[in-house]
Amino acid sequence: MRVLVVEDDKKIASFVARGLKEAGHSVDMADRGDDALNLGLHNHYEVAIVDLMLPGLDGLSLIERWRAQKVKTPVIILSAKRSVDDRVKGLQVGGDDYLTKPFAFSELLARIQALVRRSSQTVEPTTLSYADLTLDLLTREVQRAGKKIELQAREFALLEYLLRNAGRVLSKTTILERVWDYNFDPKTNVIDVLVSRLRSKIDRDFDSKLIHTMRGFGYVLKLE
Amino acid sequence: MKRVRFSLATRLNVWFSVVVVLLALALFLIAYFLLYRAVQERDREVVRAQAEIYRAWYAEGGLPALTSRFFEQEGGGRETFFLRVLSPQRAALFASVPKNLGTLNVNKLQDIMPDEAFALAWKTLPADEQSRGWLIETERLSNGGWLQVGKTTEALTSLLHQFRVIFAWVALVALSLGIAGGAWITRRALTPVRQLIGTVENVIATGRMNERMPVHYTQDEIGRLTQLFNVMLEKNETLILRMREALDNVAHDLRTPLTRLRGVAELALEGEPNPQTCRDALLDAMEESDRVLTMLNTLMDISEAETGLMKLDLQPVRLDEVVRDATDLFEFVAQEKSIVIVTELSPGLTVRADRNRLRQVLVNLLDNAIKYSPPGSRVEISAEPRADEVFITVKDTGAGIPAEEIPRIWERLYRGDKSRSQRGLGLGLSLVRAIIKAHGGRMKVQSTVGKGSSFVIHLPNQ
Repeated sequence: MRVLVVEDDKKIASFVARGLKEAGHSVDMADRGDDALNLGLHNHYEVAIVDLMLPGLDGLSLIERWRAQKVKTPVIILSAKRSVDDRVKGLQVGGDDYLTKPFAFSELLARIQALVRRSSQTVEPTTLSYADLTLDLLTREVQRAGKKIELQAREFALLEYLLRNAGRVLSKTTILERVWDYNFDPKTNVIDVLVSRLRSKIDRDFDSKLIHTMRGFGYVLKLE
Repeated sequence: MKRVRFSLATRLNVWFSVVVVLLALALFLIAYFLLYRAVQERDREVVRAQAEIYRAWYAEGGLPALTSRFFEQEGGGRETFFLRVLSPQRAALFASVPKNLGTLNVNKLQDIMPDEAFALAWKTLPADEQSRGWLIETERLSNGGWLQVGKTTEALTSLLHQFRVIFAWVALVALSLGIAGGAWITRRALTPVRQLIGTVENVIATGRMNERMPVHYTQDEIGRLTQLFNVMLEKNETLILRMREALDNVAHDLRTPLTRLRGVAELALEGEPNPQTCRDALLDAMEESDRVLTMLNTLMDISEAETGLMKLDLQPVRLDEVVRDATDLFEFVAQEKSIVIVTELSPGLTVRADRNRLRQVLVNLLDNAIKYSPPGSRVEISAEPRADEVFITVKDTGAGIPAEEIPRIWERLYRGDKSRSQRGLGLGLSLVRAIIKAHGGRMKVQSTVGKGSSFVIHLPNQ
């Protein structure tokens, strides 16, 4: 996948580019808004990651110009501004997602994948599975190694989110956002509690553990 | 005062003077016209009366009687009046001009020749170099001839001349007094405005916000403006002080975790390089930096709410919905501790609030309540309308807060003895209170050690 990274801070740009390359993407970089405009007009990118404060042409105008020129590349906005107004403005001019700095790289990666999935309009699968775990989105049944597991609504929602992002680390903030629809971090232990409940149902009776805590990052669903 | 030419005072004064001059001019024209009319009427009266006399004489004995009596010393009028008698064919039968009143240009007599239609009754001959001005009346005599009697307009002319001179002087004096008075009045009226300018210039130049304007007059518009301006300065000053204070506080509060962050890194770099130690240190550093970020965001929220800069999306919010959202979040946490959350709401109760912020407040209070309650106890949330307020109470049966700690629990980063052992930043209650205050409400707390606490949100009823 080809990704354009528009960011004038050298450290952030190289850290993002390195991560994307490690994840198997090819990366073009621009540190000025006007350069990025040209790159976007003359090349086809699957995703563009755009900082708002840029020399040459600011991020919002850049996106606006692209959209005016019928460039449909999905755009993730990276910004240090965290107010709702700024988010709304970013999405209004044609951005597709908004991530505030500082951010976890794993989250950026997850969002890129979600965007690409959405824009390529992949048919939604009705069952999600990983290793010997399956989750049926229609009947809402969960099985591990053929054994049926009863989950409550929140537990189901969390497992669905983990399964959709299997192998990727999910931060507590994003879990709170996706599972409870809270867009602030109440600094509670609710997620730890929910995860430990889910673990007790999914992992306790099995030898191979699927849900892992990544200290300092969040949680991940994967086979060790 | 720079640019005096264009100052408000100058402009006011010029306009004032222009208006005075125009008004005076109009008054003068009216007075002049009326005076002219009055004096002319008087002259006509005199001429008419004299013509009456001459007519009578003519009627008595024709032209000879008229002329002989005209030349009589007393009352004949030879010294005063112009007299001409014309035949029906308009031939001059007799003409006399008072000799001490100068001449009457003969050519001009043509101008007063009566015409067929007898249109001429009064005629004024204007003065020129050779003769004075004359006012002449023409009448028809009974035999078809004409009688013309005239009088110089000398008196009228000189009176009007005097009038003009006097008026010019009066106008000059009035105008200069007017300009001087106007200048004085506008200057006086604009003194507070100049003070205002001076104060603002001072504030801009020095950046000192504590300047205030003296308020002398409180009744008029300028006094009101001055007061309002002082109020504005006051508000700005408070705002700036508060922002500065908030910034100082944030800087101070961030120093501690940043020091810790640095300490972690330094410690890892000391001694022999060890991958496991470094890894642990990096994880510590990451967690610490997350803490800093959360702290910064929360502190910003508190500062914004306290200074009134927080944007609130106020709309009617159903309390049962927000409370359900909040209790929903803690469902499992409460279950783990075997704590029962009981809600008791008056049905259909709504408040005017920012939904998200209110939810944040409830989540914070509920988190505290569960955190400090022993396993197996109850946490109650209730809401009820009271007169012009809505009370939302979060009540726990936990450890309670010692009386001496209660006033301090709202302080930023304050952590009571019991709280120190728990996770948290010490910012939750400060944020709660700041958000509720931004909504125009208040927070109350009642607590008994060993029995529990209740936090009561007072929100204004819509």
